[in-house]
Amino acid sequence: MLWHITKREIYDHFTSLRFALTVGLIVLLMVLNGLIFVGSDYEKRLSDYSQNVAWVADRVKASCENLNELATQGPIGFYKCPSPLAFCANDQEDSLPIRVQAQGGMGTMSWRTGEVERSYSYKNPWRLGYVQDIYQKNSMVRAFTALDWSFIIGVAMSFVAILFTFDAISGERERGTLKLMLSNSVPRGILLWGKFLGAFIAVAVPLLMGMILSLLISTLSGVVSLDADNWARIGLMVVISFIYISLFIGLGLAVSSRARHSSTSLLVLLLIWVVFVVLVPNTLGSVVSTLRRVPSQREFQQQKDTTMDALGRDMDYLFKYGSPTQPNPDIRAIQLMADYVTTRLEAETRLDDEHLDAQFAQVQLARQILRAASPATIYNYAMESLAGTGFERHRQFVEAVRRYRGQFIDFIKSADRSDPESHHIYYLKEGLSEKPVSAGNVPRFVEPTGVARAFENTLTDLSLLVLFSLIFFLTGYVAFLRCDIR
Amino acid sequence: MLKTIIYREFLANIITLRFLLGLLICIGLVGANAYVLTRSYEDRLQSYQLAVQAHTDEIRDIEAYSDLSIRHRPKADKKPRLTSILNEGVEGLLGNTVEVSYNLVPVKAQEHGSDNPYLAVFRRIDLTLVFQIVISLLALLFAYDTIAGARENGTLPLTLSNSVPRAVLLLGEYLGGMLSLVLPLTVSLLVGLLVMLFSPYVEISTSDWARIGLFCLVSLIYVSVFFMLGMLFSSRARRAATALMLAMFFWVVLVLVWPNASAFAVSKLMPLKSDADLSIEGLFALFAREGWERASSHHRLADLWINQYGREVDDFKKKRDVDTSFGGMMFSFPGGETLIGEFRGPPEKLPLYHEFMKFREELRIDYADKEGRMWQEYLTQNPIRQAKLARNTARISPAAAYASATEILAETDLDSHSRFLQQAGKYRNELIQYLRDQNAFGSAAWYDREAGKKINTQGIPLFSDRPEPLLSSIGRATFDVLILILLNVAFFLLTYLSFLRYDVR
Repeated sequence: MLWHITKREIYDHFTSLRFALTVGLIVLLMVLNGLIFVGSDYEKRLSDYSQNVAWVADRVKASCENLNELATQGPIGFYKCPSPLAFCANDQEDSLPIRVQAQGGMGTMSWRTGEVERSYSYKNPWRLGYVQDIYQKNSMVRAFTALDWSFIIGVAMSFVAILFTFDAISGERERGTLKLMLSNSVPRGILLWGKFLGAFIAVAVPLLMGMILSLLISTLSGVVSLDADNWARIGLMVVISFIYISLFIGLGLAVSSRARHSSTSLLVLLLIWVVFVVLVPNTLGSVVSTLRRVPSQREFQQQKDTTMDALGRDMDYLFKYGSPTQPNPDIRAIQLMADYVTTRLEAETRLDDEHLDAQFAQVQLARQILRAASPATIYNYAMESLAGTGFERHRQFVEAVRRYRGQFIDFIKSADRSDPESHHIYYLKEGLSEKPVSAGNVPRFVEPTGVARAFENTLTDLSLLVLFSLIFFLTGYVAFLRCDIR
Repeated sequence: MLKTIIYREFLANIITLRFLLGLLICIGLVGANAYVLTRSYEDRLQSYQLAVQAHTDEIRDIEAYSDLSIRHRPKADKKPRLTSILNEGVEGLLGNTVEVSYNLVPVKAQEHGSDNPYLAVFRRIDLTLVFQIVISLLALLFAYDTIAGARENGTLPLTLSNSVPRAVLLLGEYLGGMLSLVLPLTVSLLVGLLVMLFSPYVEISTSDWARIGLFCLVSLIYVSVFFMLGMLFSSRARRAATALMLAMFFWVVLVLVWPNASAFAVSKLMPLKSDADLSIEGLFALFAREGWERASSHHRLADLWINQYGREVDDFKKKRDVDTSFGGMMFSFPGGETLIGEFRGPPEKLPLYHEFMKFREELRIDYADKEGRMWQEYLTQNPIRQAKLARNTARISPAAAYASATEILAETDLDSHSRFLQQAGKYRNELIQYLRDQNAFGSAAWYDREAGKKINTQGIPLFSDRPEPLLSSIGRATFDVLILILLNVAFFLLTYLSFLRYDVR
């Protein structure tokens, strides 16, 4: 019986105007999506990324001649690899920085008193700099939603799902066929299930077609090459999209069984959709972000300057034992200077890290609240995690860089320990070993990616979506059980 | 007869659920957003007032004219517009403070105030977005059953069996429907205004009132476009359900897909030439990779200042045998050293020194003009061109034309921002003229900081942001409003032609 009902629903849908329009819409959108991706500068970004990474590796290798050179110059910079699945969830990727800087600086301190002159040319030890290096974003173009899968499915397909189900029950009731069907020995649950499956297949088939089209365009053009990891991610995206669609089908069925007229049901569904899918994700974001205040760039700079000034020392103190670069330096001079430099380095690092963490926390709070407010945002975030783009990926990238920072410093210290001639005074150039280091031993920065990890990240979102789907479907079921079919 | 039809349509619409729900949703959304946006405006206004005060104090506190060259450059601040509540536009995206000095042409603005750059992941909403999306949907929901629905429930042949010309019937339906749509629009706008007026910091000037009124008018024209579109579908379809489906799909494409897709496509398909050979960050990157020699010759600004300007200054120095070791120097990029300390050389060399200073600073003005032109050229041909192309391709959709028109009326569009920068440029000319009048460049007032010789800082001109005259805004918005009016006329004609051949049985 279930199969009969489903078959009938499918035939009904496939021969309707709305199905034709849906197919047209999704083909148009997915083809556009594929073509825009192919025409975009993805290839250039990828080659820029490879060049940058190679340049960094070369510089590191060059500074391996001398351990203290490597220690104070550092790894130069860390770049984020552009994701090949950017056409799936591209939305805010372009506003996020593409790298974290890891450099020091240099300068000279000099001091003279009477006849004695001291000077010290120093290199500031490297530290992480969170620069806003954004790849060519034009802030003059008014903000728009990217035409990625996340938008096409999240907005357009949910709309289509509503259009397919708003008159599922109420339309049948108006036409008089509902009571005819139920006068047979058809359990109400089976009927509802059949409607659900029919609507689901009617929406899922064009969706799948569209996705295949978009993938074909992207892969056949040679712009991207997708490996097994990417295909697994795409598979997961398809699954999540289907769950998201069934959420809206469930919602449509629920409202349809409660409404007396189809037009009422459509109206209510459309208004719910407009508010929760189109408007809430946009409004709430900027509201919620005012909940937790973060000092502005200027305020932060002032705070930083005050703290760093407080750590300053005068030249008399610093050059008490002479300069570290004189011919036979006093070890106490090196120790003094190293303490000074290291304290300042640690303070600055701590301030920068805390400021960035505060900024991140503000955004994360907003995201958490948005998650609770709309299934569209849950879906968006899940797609972003799977595609390897978006804010969360950036945050994890920064965390990975910070972990690497610790690794690199440990490596320097252990390499330094193995040299008996070194003073082992950390973090000054003159206090460390001067032996060369084999470039192969330097730890390489690898951003932990992989579909398993991405899946872990999406687990909460996935379960939330499943939960909502079940709730809507159950509501629909209960509503249908109690509704008057005459 | 027309009046009866209008009255009937209006009443029939008012008592429906869709009217009530639409009214409530509009009021709710507009009220909530007006509240949030007013608070945000208050913050920006406060931040602006603090900034203007701080900048004025900074200028009044300088001790010698050379302070204006780097450390205490005058700043031009853009006053936040109250009408940004209607359409946020580029406010907050492109900066509201720009440094101006005799040696710096204002081309790019910075933002003062709280600025977590990671908040760019959240889009902002304004009243235009609410109307663009919700009102157009409402209009379609009101219009899809005007003709086809009337046919289905049998009232159409009854109406037309009277001596009612089809045109009159159409007009009556249109006006009746529009009247019932005007209610949610105006009531929600009034609620928004009330919310705005509640705030103690909000002062609505006459020009603001005029702009709000025009916003209402343009919104009405926009709603009318979609109502006519709905009637068009209704007059082509036999059943109301068909008309509804068509209307819904067209709505998604016109309002949600097209404006976003066209902007997205333009930003992805039209690559921006990088500004690495003009910007400071580009210079540092070039320096890090290729060393100073290549950087200073390949970077256009570095080349301009270090090689060309530097050479002219050196020529003068050699020709007139000027020794510049007498004063406290400060190296600054762009433009080389600036004398800021006292003159410590022999007294007979003083006039030559002053002449050299004047030559150098006047030359700096010329070179700053050149730099300004380079930047302007880059900006016009790259980001501005891309933004204009995005706007023009999006305009095909009435939703984008509406957004563009309200942006101009709210004075928050890209051209308004350019106008602000131009005003800052004019202020720069004022400043230069003042400095010349005071012979600032060629006298001891340039560097002398002794207590008795301090300059009179009250005369230094300050920047004041003058809003755009209303007529000028209206002129610029005319094109978009014309698009909307044309669409109205086109849809009405098509509906009329369709309806003439419509089988009413």
